[in-house]
Amino acid sequence: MRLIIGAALALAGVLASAPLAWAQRLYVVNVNANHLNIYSTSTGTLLNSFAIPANSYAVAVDSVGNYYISYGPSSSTDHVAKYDSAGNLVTSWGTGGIITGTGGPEGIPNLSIDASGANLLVPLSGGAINVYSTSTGALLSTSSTTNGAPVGAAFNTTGTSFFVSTFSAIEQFPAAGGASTTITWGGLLTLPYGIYFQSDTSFLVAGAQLGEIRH
Amino acid sequence: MTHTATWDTTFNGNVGFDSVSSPYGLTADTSGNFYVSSFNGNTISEFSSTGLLINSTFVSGLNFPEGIAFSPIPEPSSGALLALGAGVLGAIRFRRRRR
Repeated sequence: MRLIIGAALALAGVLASAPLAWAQRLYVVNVNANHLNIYSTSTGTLLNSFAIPANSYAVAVDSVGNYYISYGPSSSTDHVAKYDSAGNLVTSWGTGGIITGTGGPEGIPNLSIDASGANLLVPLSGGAINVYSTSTGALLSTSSTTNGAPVGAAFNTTGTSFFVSTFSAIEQFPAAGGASTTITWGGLLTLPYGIYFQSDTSFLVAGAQLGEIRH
Repeated sequence: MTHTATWDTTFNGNVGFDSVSSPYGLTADTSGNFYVSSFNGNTISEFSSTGLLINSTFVSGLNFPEGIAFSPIPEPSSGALLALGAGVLGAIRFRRRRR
């Protein structure tokens, strides 16, 4: 009994002190190496590297460590693959399936999972932005941009809307469906590319042409 | 949404357009620091939440990095693992004394 109490006290002590000592992970699609690299954000140390399909572009990670990869240079090979945290393939979608016919994810650096963890946002070069179920891979909705093909996309932090970059503008879509509104920032956007939300009122955009980050 | 700031990826929070290296992917950690993949520069750069460059080569030696993401799951660092190990050793010693 004392052993159990002692072990419990030791574990409680560890857990109480742990928040200061937790690190997190950065996932990087290393495109030409066909690998997903995982780094410590505290040290930059490479922790793991998993093989991924050729022509992989974007990655998203859910709350239990599953990760999703978009890949495929053509409509015949376009996929989203879901892997567990150990790098085992869980399932993939594409090749004659739900991605075919809407353009592929080639060259697009963003996948995005909403706050609920249930929805995966996949921008496609053919002009569509698809939302899939993270659990089943079912296509839940499709939207279309009005300012050219999408090149980046992200849910806002509450999941009430998502934003899509199109090289000339940012379009905001209601998550529930409907028409988009366009953000141009007075012509300041220069090839807006990857998007990341800091909060529901602030996001970052990579300006691919001029090498800038706007917010 | 209004545009509030522009940060060049090569310098510390100033507005500028002389950068290179094609920033493609963006993500951020829980402290607000954000990370940028440089597709042509083959690096990942780290910035503070206010746009200050922390480390231009947080990761280097890549081969055209593009999409990046941050894990929402914290991982125990070596310090936490050390504390856990000490706790286990303490429990074992306690058990041996009991015998």
